[in-house]
Amino acid sequence: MLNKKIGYLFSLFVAASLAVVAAAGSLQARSIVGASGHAAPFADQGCFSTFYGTMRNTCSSTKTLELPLATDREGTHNVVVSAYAAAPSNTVGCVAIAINKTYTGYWSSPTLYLPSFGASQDISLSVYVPASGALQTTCYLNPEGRINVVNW
Amino acid sequence: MTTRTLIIAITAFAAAAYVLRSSNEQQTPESVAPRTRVPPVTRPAHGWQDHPRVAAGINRLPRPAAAQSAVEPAASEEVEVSADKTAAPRALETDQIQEQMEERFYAEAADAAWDYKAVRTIEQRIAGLMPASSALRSVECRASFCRIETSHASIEEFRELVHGAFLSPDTQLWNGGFFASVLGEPPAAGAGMVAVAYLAREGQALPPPDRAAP
Repeated sequence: MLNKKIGYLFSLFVAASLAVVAAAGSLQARSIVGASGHAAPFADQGCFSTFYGTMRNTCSSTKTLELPLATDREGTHNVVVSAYAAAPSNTVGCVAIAINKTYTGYWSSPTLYLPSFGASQDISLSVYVPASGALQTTCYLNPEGRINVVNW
Repeated sequence: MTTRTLIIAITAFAAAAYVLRSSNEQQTPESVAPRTRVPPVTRPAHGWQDHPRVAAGINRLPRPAAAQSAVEPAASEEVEVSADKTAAPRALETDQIQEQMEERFYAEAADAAWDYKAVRTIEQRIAGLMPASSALRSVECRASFCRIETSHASIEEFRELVHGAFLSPDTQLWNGGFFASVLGEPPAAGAGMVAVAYLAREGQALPPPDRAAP
């Protein structure tokens, strides 16, 4: 009888713990694929090729990709861009930029580049976003550079 | 797992999701408890020439005293007093963030080895980026970042400078985090303004605003 009660309480504890963890997980980081971005200027859109959500620069010069990132709150946002370059000549650099709603205030991280080549790497950025403001990541892709996913 | 345990687990999940969702909503400014408002004080006219700092010929806030800040409000606003002392920090306005940066800048010590070179670099590079009716008013640097004050005939010229001097990798002064804003109210179309930008050292980020500060 006692063992049955203990077993029952243990099952209840595990179920409740899983419920809390699952609910908390649903409120954490978002992600978008590189193909969610657009070329800046739009005229360069033809320089980008998509493959299962990734975005690759197929032109022979550096091109700019802008990725808007939805936000719900004021404060510092950490943006992680997963990108790939086979060699330094294909490198990718990204910057996180925020603006206020009247377009009279700008915040920006420094532009950071891939730390190594030959395998996908993360570029970690951090920027303050004001209340009711907007956030985006701008990436500069050398030829054959690729954006996989952006998390924030 | 028995049926009763399963039902209890589902109920626990729904309750946990509701509690977490509610606590997440409470972090947004819109859902903060209603505040007690006091009557507004008359706001002075606000072209950029009327900005307190510009009108006084003083383009910076006074150095803060040791015990308390000497910052004066940028403009009169309705003063809101939260009725709920446990509410999340108030959302900062851009001019409040700008005043925080002013305090931090003037509280920093100088770095003689870097300051002079950084000021010269900015002065030389920004000259070619300045729009036609814009002017550089002052450049100062401290240990970790520089302060650049400019005047513009229109908001479009301010945005043009921000793009050229801070955002474009081909023309930026250097690759550092920055914060740039116009002083005072957003200007009316065609109106002139003063803007201030803070630029961190190469590869560095600026410190984020202190949301808990009054």
